Amino acid sequence: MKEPAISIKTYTWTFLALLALALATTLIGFLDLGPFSMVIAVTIATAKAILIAFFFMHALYESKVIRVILAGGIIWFLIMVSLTLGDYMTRGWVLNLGGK
Amino acid sequence: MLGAAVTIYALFRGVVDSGWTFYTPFSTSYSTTYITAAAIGIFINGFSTIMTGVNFIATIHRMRAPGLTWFRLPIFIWSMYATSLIFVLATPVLAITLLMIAVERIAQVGIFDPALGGDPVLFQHMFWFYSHPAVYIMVLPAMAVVSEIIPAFARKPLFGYKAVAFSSMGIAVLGFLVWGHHMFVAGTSIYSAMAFSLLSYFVAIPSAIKVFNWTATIYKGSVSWDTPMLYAIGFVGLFTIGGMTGLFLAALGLDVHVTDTYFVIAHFHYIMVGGTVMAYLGGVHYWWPKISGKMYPEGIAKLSALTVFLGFNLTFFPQFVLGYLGMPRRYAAYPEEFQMLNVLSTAGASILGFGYVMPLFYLLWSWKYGKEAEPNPWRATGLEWKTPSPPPKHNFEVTPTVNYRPYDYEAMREELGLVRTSHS
Amino acid sequence: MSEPATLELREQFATPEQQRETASIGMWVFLITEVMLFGGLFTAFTVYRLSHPMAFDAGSAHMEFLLGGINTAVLICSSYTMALAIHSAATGKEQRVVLFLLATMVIGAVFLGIKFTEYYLHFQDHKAPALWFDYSGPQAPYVQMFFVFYFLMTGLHALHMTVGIGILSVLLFRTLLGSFSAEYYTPLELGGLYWHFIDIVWVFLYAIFYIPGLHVR
Repeated sequence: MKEPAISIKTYTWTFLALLALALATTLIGFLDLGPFSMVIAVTIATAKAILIAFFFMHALYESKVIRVILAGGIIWFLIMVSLTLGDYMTRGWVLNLGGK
Repeated sequence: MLGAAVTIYALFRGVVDSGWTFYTPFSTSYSTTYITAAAIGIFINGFSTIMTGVNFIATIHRMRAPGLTWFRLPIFIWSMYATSLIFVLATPVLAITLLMIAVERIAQVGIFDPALGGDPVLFQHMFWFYSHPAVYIMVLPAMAVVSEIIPAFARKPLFGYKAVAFSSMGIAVLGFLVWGHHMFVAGTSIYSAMAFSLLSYFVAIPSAIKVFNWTATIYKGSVSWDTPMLYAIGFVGLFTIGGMTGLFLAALGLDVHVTDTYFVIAHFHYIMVGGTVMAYLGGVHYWWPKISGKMYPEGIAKLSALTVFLGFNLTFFPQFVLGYLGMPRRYAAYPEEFQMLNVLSTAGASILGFGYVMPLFYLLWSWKYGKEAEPNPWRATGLEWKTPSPPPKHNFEVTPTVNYRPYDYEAMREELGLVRTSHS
Repeated sequence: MSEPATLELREQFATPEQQRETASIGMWVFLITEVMLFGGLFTAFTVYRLSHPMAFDAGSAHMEFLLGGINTAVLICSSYTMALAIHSAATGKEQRVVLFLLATMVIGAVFLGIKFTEYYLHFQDHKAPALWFDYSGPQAPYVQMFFVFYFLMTGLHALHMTVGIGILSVLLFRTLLGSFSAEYYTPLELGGLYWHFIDIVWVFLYAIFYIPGLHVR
């Protein structure tokens, strides 16, 4: 029988960290930080997701293939979002090629 | 099959008058036809696609025969792996887009309705995010087949194995970055259009690399002109024409002129029919002895390959001209001056149809009356030829061990029974 | 009843480790498809939010913050119990597996209960598009769009949760039948991966739907 790679202690610390981050994001939410509010909320959510993926889902302890699969999925989502937003965010720009 | 049944039901019970692209807001706010049913049918179908992709990826990663390292894999597997990557990354986006269409229609909530702050172009972004990689789903397996046939009938290793392998991956990756070229006239920003135009030029490169490698494989090979090879060579030529006309369409200025005309139709049919369908027919003939255990009649097969080639070109080449002259696509009627070219195209289609029906007959005939096929009738490398025709239930009686390079015709000359002829 | 020995090594695999890894790769690839599925909705939401930030913040102000916060904590707990279930399987403590699987399922059901309570409260508040939507403030159509996405995304998430509880009940059943051992518990692992993924999705849903409204009150 293989010794489990992750101990109960690690799981417990991850669990507590997740609760702490949830609390943090909620408290920070009460501040009005303008556009940064969303940025911070999503950043904290990303940190929580990383904790869940790396520890609860063992991603940190699995083979390289699995980490590549995980990275690939995230990158593809980012491709979809960034190229789509690229259209929307440049719609207001005016193309000035000179002339009248 | 369930998905297909639902979709076909939608098509026959009522119509789907938005067309396969389901553009909003027509499909969501105005159409009264069976859009939701069709969307649900395709959604169900998506599950099968995704499961296949997961299956292939897991199998190729971890269930290869002993000794079969990544660079000993036939290119067929590399291309199918690339296709499977597209399956799993693109199909879910189609699924969610169709779900949104269905929800908008059923609940009347206007996700893409401008009155509620929605944007119809957003639908197009999400739809084409899947639908452009989808065409690479269609062409990569065809390229896979061609990459197997050409070395076999040129009796030479595939030229530039690693280049072709990495090109397959390159097509899969780059194919995800170009979807905006379906939206040049949809109202996206000009900067977005420029970016997608540039990226569309890049995606042609790995395909071109493959064309050069196939050609180099044939060069100085010992070529036999059996039917699979005829189809494969036809593929190379016609795919090249189709691919190059894609570059015409990637150019923003040209696209404004020929978009939504017959030029686009000719472009993708050169790839899909001149390319994919011909590769499919080549593959059917190539593996027919393995699948059925019988040989098909070579003479009539060559004749039908020629018929397909001639019929195809007569059908679709006039369409390039028609499109350039301005005939729009999806129109039932057209002005007088386009008539001659349309008639030529129709004549070609009849010939093409005849060419398609012929294999149906002689292949089925051969299943019953054809000559018995040996395990390796083409004297080709590849594990499938080391097992009887047709293969037993477990494919191999003993799991083979692979300790040689792929397409190693020189080293395997004796084993394959290839005779060196006096003229070379 | 399935013998652990035969499940441990199926004939198409050479070693149990190969079998486990292949299954794991399969599940991770499937989870990537789920990333792209939810990702489509996140993309659309992002586009609309950037177009109408004030309206979306106003919509967020009508969220049930207490219930949403509790639900976030609830799901985190369920992920913890799920991880402990897997750990128990790996150390051969089958009774603990049953205990933790049950705990995860119950906590999951609590999540769904709270979620549907929220939905009911939104309906009572006239914030349920297609059923009863009434908003008298500015940019009402865009606020409605916020709620459309809220119901669509949390609804899809709740559907996945329900399926997850179904999967867990099957796993519970199989554990009780004795199908798993310290040598073979791959289905539990895969079920765990799915469950954790659903939790990750909720983490992001909480961030985009509930957090913005906290400062708009």
